[in-house]
Amino acid sequence: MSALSLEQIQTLVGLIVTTEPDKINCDQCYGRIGEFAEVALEGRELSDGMKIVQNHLEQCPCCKGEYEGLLDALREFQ
Amino acid sequence: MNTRSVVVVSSRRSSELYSVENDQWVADLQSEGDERDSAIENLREILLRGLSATCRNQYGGKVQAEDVVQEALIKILDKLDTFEGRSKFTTWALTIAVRVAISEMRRKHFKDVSMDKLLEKSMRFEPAALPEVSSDIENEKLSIIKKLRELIDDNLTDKQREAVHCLLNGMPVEIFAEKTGSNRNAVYKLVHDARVKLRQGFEQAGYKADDVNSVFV
Repeated sequence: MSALSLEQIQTLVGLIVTTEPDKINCDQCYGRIGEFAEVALEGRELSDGMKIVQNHLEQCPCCKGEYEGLLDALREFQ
Repeated sequence: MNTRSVVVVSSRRSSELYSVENDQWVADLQSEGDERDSAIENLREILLRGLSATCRNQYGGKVQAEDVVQEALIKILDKLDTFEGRSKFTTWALTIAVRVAISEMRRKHFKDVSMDKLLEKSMRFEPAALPEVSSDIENEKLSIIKKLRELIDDNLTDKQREAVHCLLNGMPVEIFAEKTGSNRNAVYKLVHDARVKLRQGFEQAGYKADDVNSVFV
């Protein structure tokens, strides 16, 4: 595997400048992601608790990938 | 040729099952005999339909819904006591099933990736990544890249450099944790702390986040 390319450096810069404090970890996000997905799909306003989940998803590409997979599944039933 | 059986899930039937009340699901799955068997079969139908969409859209279809539905069902039944009713039961069950499926896809995707090889040039920059100084904007970019290089060398630990390098090569923290014998929460914190250190380093050096970002857009 090669050293970092300019594109990867740009990605890193993007990650750095969008870094925000995060109040929860991945397990805590996982525990609330179903509720968050329902709120998001129904277009309801996010409570403070749900905004914390949203913030984690913006910080964590791993959880975001799972959230997108969950949305794919839930949309099948809409 | 794929000889796997194709499970046809009726979308109308699974949509009806999807709207069954939470209490009914839990009661039926906790019951015994035919009632329980029927609830499990109904849940399997819902999982198959939902997972089929997930598997189609993520990681290029490396995993089929049928491959993971049984493991997902077992996990859901094991965790039934932990369902708190914060969402629909079916959403909760699909959350567990989707994690099973995506974890399997990620494992398959990174199965042959050697950590030793990946980390051979951990956080080194390609010479081509340093742009020619041909305009003011390129000059600014070069200055930011040099600062970033310095911050990575001075402010991050070896473990943070490794985790960030793997992240930039597309490896999810879940897989990095598995391959290094750590856990997902710890690796997420490791990477997040690294990002905070780098951001603070830029700010202390007089770079504002928006200015740094605009140079790279």
